[in-house]
Amino acid sequence: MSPHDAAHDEVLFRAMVGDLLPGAPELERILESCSTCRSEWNDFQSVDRALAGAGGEMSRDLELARQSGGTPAEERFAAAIRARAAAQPPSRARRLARAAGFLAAAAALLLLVRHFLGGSSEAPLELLGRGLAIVSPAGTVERYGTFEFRGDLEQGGAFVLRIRDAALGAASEPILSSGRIAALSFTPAPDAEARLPAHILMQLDLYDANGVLRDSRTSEARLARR
Amino acid sequence: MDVFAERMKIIPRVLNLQNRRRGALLDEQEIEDLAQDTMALVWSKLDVFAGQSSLESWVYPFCLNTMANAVRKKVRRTPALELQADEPQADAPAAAASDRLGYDEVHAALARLGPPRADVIRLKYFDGLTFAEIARRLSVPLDTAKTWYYRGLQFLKEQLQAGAREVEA
Repeated sequence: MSPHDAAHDEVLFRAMVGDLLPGAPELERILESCSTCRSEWNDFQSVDRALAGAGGEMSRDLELARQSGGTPAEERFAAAIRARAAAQPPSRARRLARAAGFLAAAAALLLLVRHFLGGSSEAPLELLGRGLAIVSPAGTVERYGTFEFRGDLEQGGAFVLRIRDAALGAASEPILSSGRIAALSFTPAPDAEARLPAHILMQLDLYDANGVLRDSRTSEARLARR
Repeated sequence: MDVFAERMKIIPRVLNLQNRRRGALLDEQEIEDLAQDTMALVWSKLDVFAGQSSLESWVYPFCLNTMANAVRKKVRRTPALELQADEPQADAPAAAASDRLGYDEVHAALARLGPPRADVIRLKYFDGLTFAEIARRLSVPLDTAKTWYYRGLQFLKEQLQAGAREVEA
């Protein structure tokens, strides 16, 4: 048994951030020789599973929620939001509260508020990522085929579509990436498409002309049979 | 405003989903009221929405939090409901009831963790970004993003262990 020390912490850190792969000799050595490391490592793995599970449930809920709705109660809810905005613009209290010293935050807030009140269709909409969506494949399909999406792409901007194996989770490394493209579709090579698993997670990122990530959307699709 | 109101319809939809998973303890009127309460909470916090994740992902934990509180209150008022609240429902996903409760605790612990470490963890697990992408999105060096992530995991580890000890006690 070796006593736990800062060097061990460093190895655990590198393993948890992915700089060391599971099974790396350095990691295996401390897990075998140090009970504190073993305990820490097991605890981190539990947290990792809990986060992945919570993230998976959130993705499923949001996808189901997007597909549901249309009830009278929902329309009443939306009407109440419009009424609230008309009666109590959310900017006032915050502007008063943050009048001095928070100019940058206030500027960002005003952009949001202007958007929420319907006054502008420029930057705030971009901030909220209006229209960015993965159109197909969606749900259960016979084959994945061409991946189609929509979104407002500025001059010099790019989309990047990343595809992951759903069985490995949203935090896994992508198994296929479109690279930076300026088109609204991506068609994988036939052999690459054939290698895709029966259930995939798709992540569409929108970059501006400066290469800054502006928004992201996720979706999933599965094959009817394989 | 229409775009925002449309997107906020996610609130009653998520609440309805969560309610069904918890045995439909709340009736339609209670869900409608809860949606309004959740919206009021979201409204009061809008200035901290930094646009790092989608608006819907940001709103989701508010729904879980208000739903969990509403269910707790209802169970306290009506003890006979306690058993029903713990039973997974037919349309629930594969997660066991114990995991379901754990997921609520994960979101609650992330809320306690706060930015920027919670942002890194959400972007990594919920939005599936790599550390390089997270660093770019948050405009910080790669090593900073990794350090925030690791410190965040340490915090969550302690929080979730404390929660588990409370459940056992």
